[in-house]
Amino acid sequence: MSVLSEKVITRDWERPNQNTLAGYKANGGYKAAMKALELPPAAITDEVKKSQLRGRGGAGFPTGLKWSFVPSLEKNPKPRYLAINADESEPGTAKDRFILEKDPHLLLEGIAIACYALGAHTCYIYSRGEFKYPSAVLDKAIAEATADGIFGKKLLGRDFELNVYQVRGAGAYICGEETALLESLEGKKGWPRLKPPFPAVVGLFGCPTVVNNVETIASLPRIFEKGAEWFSKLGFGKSGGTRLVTVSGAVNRPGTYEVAMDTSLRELIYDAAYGQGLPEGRTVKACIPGGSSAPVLTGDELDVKLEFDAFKPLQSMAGSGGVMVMDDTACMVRCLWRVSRFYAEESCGQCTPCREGQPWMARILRKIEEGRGERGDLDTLLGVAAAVAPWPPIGLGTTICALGDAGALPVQSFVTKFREDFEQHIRLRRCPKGDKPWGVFGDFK
Amino acid sequence: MSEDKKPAEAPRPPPGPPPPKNPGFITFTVDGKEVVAKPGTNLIDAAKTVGADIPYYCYHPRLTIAANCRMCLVESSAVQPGKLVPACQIPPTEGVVIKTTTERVRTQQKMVMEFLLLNHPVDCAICDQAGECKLQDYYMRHDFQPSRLEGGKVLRHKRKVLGDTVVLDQERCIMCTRCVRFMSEVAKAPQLGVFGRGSHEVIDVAPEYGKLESNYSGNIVDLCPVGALLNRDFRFRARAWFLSAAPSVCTGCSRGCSTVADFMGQDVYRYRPRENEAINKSWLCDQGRLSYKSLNTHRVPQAVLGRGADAKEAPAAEAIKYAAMKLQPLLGSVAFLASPVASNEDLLASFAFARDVLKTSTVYVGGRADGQADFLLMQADKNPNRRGLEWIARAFGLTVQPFDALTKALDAGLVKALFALGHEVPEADDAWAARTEKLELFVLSATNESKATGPAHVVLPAATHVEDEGTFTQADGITQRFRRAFPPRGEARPHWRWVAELAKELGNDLAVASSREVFKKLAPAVPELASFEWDKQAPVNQTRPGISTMAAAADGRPPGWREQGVPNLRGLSIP
Ligand SMILES: Cc1cc2nc3c(=O)[nH]c(=O)nc-3n(C[C@H](O)[C@H](O)[C@H](O)COP(=O)(O)O)c2cc1C
Ligand code: SF4
Ligand code: SF4
Ligand code: SF4
Ligand code: FES
Repeated sequence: MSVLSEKVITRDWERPNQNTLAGYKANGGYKAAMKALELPPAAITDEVKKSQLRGRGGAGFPTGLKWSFVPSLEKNPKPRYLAINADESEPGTAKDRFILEKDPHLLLEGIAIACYALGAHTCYIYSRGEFKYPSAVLDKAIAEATADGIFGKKLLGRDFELNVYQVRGAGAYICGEETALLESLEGKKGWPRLKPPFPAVVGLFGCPTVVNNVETIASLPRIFEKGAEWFSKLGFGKSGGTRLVTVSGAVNRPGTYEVAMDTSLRELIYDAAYGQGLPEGRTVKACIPGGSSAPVLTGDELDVKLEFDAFKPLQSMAGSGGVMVMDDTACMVRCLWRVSRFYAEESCGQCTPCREGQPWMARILRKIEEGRGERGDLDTLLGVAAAVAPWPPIGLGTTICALGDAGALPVQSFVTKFREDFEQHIRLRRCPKGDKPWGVFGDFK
Repeated sequence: MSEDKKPAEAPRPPPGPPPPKNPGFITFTVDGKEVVAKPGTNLIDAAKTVGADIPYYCYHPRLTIAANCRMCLVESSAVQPGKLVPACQIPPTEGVVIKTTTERVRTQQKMVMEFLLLNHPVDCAICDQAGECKLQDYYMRHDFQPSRLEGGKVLRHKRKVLGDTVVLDQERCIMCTRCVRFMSEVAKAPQLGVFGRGSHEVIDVAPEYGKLESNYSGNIVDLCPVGALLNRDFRFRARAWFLSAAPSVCTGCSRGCSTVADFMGQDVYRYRPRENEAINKSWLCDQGRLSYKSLNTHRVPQAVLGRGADAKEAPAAEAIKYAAMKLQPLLGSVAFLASPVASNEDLLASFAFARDVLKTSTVYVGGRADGQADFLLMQADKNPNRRGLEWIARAFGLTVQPFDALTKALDAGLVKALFALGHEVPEADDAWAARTEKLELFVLSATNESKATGPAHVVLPAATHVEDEGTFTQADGITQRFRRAFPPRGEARPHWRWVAELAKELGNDLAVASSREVFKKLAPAVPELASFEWDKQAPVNQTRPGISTMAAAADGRPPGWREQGVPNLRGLSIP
C-alpha cells in the first residue's frame, strides 16, 4: 500500500500558534516565498509547470498552464488579478476551511508567490459566506502580514506592491464557479459568464485574472521550499504533490486527511490512518469520490487511485476530494434525492435546462422515495438528466456552467448503477428502508 | 466544485487555422450546405441564409449575447462528438461543419421546450401574445406533446404593473433577459433586473427605481418572445390573428421611424417598430408608439361649411363647389399655410395649387411646435416631413416663411384669406383660433377636429397617412414609403385630392387620380425626390441579413401567423 512519505499541506497544522504570524515564522514561514521571489516571474511559472501541480478546486487543471494563458503585458496592459476560490461549498468537501483555520499564512505565502509570478498587485480571497471562524482567522492573518510589511507597498521588501483582501460571499454555491465568483466580486449577481473568453484573458473588471483554489495556492510554498522535482515525484502520474480528501458517511473515522496521489479509495476507507473501515458487518454500497457532483461508484469500483486522471475510465472524477461513503443500510433513492435537492436549490437560474431541470429531477426523486413512483418515472428522470448533461462521458453539458452537469451526473450514475433499488421503490410503493432511509447510525466505533 | 466537464477551464492554444477558402470570408457548412459569411456573422443569421432555421429565444441581433435559453443548440465539428454548442454564442469558424437537424439536436430542442413550459401557465386563452408567441410556435414545431410534470407550477405575480406603459406577468416569463439587456444596453436605463434564484426567480423593476420610467419601455414588449411583458395600451384589445398589418411610418417626430400599423376594420390598434437599420434600428419610442391614437379619434368625418352657428356638414361635392366659389374672387391674395405633417404627395399637389391657382409665391409653414429630443431616436422637430416640404417648396420656386411671419401678417391685417393644410400649428390652439376668427375666408383641410378647426369657413376632412399611399422625408433626408391600410374614414380624402379637385373646379386641372400619379407627375421637378423609385420601395429592408422587416417588430423575425414574412395586407397596395 502506498504510504504518505511526507506531508505537504498538513505538515504544520498541529504546531502551536501556527495560525499566527509569529508561530508561522518561527517555523521558517515566508522563507520559501523569499526564495521564489529571487527568480524572474516567468521562471516561477515554469517551476510550477514542472511541479505538475494541478488545480484542487475540482477540474484538476494544470496550474502552471493556467497561469501561462495570461497574456503578456505588451499584449494586454491592463492590471492582472489573482482570485482565490475559498467558497468551498461542494457537499462532502471540507478541506479549504481547515487551511484557513489552521495555517492561513501558508495560503498567504502562496499568494505572494503566485501574484509575483503573475504580475498581479491585487489578490482577492473570496470566502464562503458561512465561514465565520475561518474568515476571522484569515482576516487576522492578512492584517498581521500587512502590518509586518509582508504585503503592501513592498512585497517582502521587494519593489512590488501587493494588497490582499478577503471578500465574503453571501451563501451561494454557484459563487464557487470561477466566473460567478468574479461577478460576485464585482458586486453583481453571481451568474456565471459565458466562456470563452476565459478569466485568464477577460476576468475581474475585464482584466486578466487567475482563479485558483485555496489548496492549490497553499501548495506553492512547499514547491519552492523543496523544489518542483520533489513535489512532482511525491505525486503520481501527471498529478504532482499530495491532496486533501474529506471522508464522510458510513466510515468509522470520518475526517479530512492528506493522502498520497496513489492511495486508492479502498485504502482511504479502510486504512487505519484514514477512515478505519465500516462498522461490523457492513459493506460499501456506494461511494461518491469527489464531492456530490461526481458520478457515484459502486462498492466494486473502489480500487481506484485518488489521482486526477485515474477516474476517467470509471466516468467519474476526483473533483474536490469529498468522499462520501454509503453502506448497504442506506437508501440510494433518498441519498440521490438529497443531492438533487441541493442542486435544485443552488441553480442560479440563468439557463433553462438547469433552472427547470434540476427541480424537476428532485421532484421525481421525491415522488419515487415517497412511494408514489410510476413505471415511466425512471425514463423521464434519465431523459431530463440527459437533457441537462448526458453521461457518460463527462463533459457534454448543455448549460452555461458546470452546475448543470453537477446535478445531472449523480442522477444518471445513481439510476444506472442502482436501478434495481429505484425499481424496488416503485414496485413496493414505499421506501424499503422504512423510517431509516439514511442508514443505521447507532453502532459506529 | 469538481468539474472536468467543460473541456478546459482555460483556452487551449489555438491549432493553426486552416487557410480560408474564400479570403476575407469564412466558409463553413450548415446541414450540408456551404455558407460563406463575413467574419463575425452570427451563426443563427448565417444559417438562415441557407434555409436552416435554428430556433432561439434569448438571441437578438441588437443586444449582447446571453446564451441562456439554450434553444439554439446545434452540433458542431469543432467540439467533441455529442456536445452541443449554442449557435448564438459560438461564432462559426473556417471549415466547421454545423448540423442543426440531427436526432440529438431535435431531442434537445424538445426537452428545452418542455423545460420552458414546465412552470409556464399556458393561459393562452387570455394571453395577448397568443398568435405571435414563440412558445406557441416552437411548441408546435419542436415539442408537441403533453408536459410530463405532475403537481403544481411555481406561482408568481400575474399582473405586476411595471410602469405607465408595461405590465408584467411573471409566470409567463421564460427568463431570456432580453428586456433586462435592452433597458441597460439600448435604453440606457438599467431599471429591470432578475431577482431571486433558480426556478423561483422573477423579472422586476430594481427597487431604487420603483417603476419603469423610460421613453423606450414599450420596446421590451416587442422584444419579449412570450406574453410576459404586455403593453398596457394594447392589452386585451385585440387578438393578434384578427389584426392585419401595413408597413407605415411614425409621424411623431422628424426621425420618421419605420413602423407596422396593425389594424382591424378602419381602426389602427397599435404601432410596432419595423426593422430599419438606417433610422430606428428595431425600436420605437413610447410617444411615437402611442401617436397612432389620433388616427382613430377626433377625426373630421365630413366637410363642414360655415362657422359658428351657421356651420353645417355637407357632402364632398358641395364642399368643393362652395370652397371654389369662395376662393375664386380672392385668388392672388390667399395666403397658404402648409404643414410639415403632410406627405410629400400632399405637398407636391398643394404647392402646385398654391403656385398655379392661388398665385402666391410664399408658403407659410405650420405643423407642430418643437419639443424634447433625446439620445436615441426622438428629435426636437415633431413633424415627420419638414425636409420634404423644404425640398418641394424650393423646387417649386416658393419662398418658405416661418409661422411667426404669418401671425405677424395676420395681426397686421395683411392677410385676409387663408388656405391651410393640417389643423396643427406651433402655437396654442386658442391663440390661433382667435387670430383666424378675423379672417374673411379660412379654408382648412384637416384630419382631426380641434379648436383650430372652429373658425374655418370650410373644413375639408383629410385622410391620415394610414389611409393613403405616400412618402415622408425624415430629418436625415431619407424618403420612405408608407402604405395604405384601409380606405379613409367617412368622407375623408387625402389633402392632395382636395387640392386637386379644388384646382380643377378653379379651372386648373392637375389631372391626377392617385398619390402615385401625383408623385410621378410632380416629383421629377424636385431634384432630391427625382431619383426616388416610388414603386420599388417595397417594405422589406434588406440591408441587414437575418432580420426580416415584416418582423414582429423588434423581435427580429416574423411572428407565427406571419411566418412567411408577407404581411397580411388589405386595401389596394399589396406589394
Ligand atoms: C458549480 C461550481 C462550483 C464550484 N465551486 C468551487 C468551490 O467552491 N471552490 C473551488 O475551489 N472551486 C470551485 N469550482 C471550480 C472553479 O470553477 C474553478 O475550477 C477553480 O476555482 C479553479 O481553481 P483550481 O485551478 O485551483 O482548481 C466550482 C465549479 C463549479 C462549476
Ligand atoms: S448551469 Fe445552472 S448554475 Fe450554471 S449558469 Fe446555468 S442555471 Fe446557472
Ligand atoms: S406566453 Fe405564449 S404560451 Fe404562454 S400563455 Fe401567452 S400565448 Fe400562451
Ligand atoms: S419578461 Fe419577457 S423579455 Fe423579459 S426575461 Fe421574461 S420572457 Fe424574456
Ligand atoms: S438563442 Fe442561443 S441560447 Fe438563447
